[in-house]
Amino acid sequence: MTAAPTPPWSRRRVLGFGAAGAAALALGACSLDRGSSPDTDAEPEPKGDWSGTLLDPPFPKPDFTFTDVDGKPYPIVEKTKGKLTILFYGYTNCPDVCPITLNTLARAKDGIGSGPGSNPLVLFVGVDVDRDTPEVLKTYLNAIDPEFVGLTPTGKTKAEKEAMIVDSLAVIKQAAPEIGEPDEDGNYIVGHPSAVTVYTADDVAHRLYPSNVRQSQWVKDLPRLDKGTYT
Amino acid sequence: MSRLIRLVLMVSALVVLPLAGCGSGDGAKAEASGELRVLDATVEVPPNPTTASIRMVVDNGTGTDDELVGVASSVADTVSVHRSETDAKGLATMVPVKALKIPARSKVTFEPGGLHVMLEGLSGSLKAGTTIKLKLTFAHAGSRTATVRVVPFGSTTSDSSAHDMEH
Ligand SMILES: [Cu+2]
Repeated sequence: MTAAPTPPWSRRRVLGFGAAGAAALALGACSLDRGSSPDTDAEPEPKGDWSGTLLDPPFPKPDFTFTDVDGKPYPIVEKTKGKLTILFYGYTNCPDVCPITLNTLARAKDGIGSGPGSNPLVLFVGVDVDRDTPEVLKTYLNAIDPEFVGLTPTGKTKAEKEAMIVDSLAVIKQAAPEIGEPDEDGNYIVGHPSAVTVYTADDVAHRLYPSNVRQSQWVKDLPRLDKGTYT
Repeated sequence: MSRLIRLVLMVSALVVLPLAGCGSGDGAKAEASGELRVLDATVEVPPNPTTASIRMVVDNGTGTDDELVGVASSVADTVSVHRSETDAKGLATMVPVKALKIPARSKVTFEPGGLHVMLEGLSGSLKAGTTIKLKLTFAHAGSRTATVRVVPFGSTTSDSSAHDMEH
């Protein structure tokens, strides 16, 4: 076998690549140093027993009104006010990183059981505008944890929807998603931010996590975050 | 079931499937079985009924370096080997692997957050407790048909990735 040919997604489309997209990309390009190699292996044991990266200054919430799985408006700032909130962007045709990340969070909730950290509000934003419809998101999240909130961007056109994704990601300094070139069967790969942003009761995020945080680590961190500590 | 019987069953399972709990990714040394085998193939019932991923261990017990060059199954329109990666921009993405090296006397583990056989356009819903067939084509060893167990969703967490399995 010879070396693999140039992969088709090298021609991939960066979501919302326009004025807003370019601005977000610029931000994404200088996104945070995650402090570890960007591979998909389990993260190394963090310093001070915490996982993720300390955000200084902390990240605000993306002040956008998304659409929930029942088609109702979901203004993020209003709906999550004062609550321990976990924000993750992915897509429903993702068979690996997304379900594992979400399932790890669901199992961490089980692990914490009750008390602080046991009931985070988990928001999953579908970045694949064509395939991540509210109906598909509903089925997907019901299979993982029916309490998780599925969000799709609001807009009349696909361009407007994609702009909401890109602009909301810019708030948390994450790169715009990338949509791969479809294969003969119409399947395509989507690149989505791997970061998981956790907001505390003060409505800002003090820590940004990689997607591969272990369940046992969430069980340690979420109760502490819920009690207002982050270092 | 008593603890003891369970333990005995676990131990015998470990003997039959020496990799079940100790895969460490590319290059792990295997006992030379003299054969190329596909072990412990499973697929979780996916939360999105159209797309799933198969995990397994490919054990090249032969003295010849090999390559996995094809995967096929009748249950999905598209079957391909992928590796999940995070790129320099922090985007999680998947990269198709056209030819996967399986060095001589080595085991390659398809583990969460890494290698997987991606099934797209599943023709029917996968049911836990059933099995599906996966045909694998190797450059040297020829083809193998693996029986893939369908297991319920929910057992795979980030804790199942390679580093936690290295005990
Ligand atoms: Cu894949």
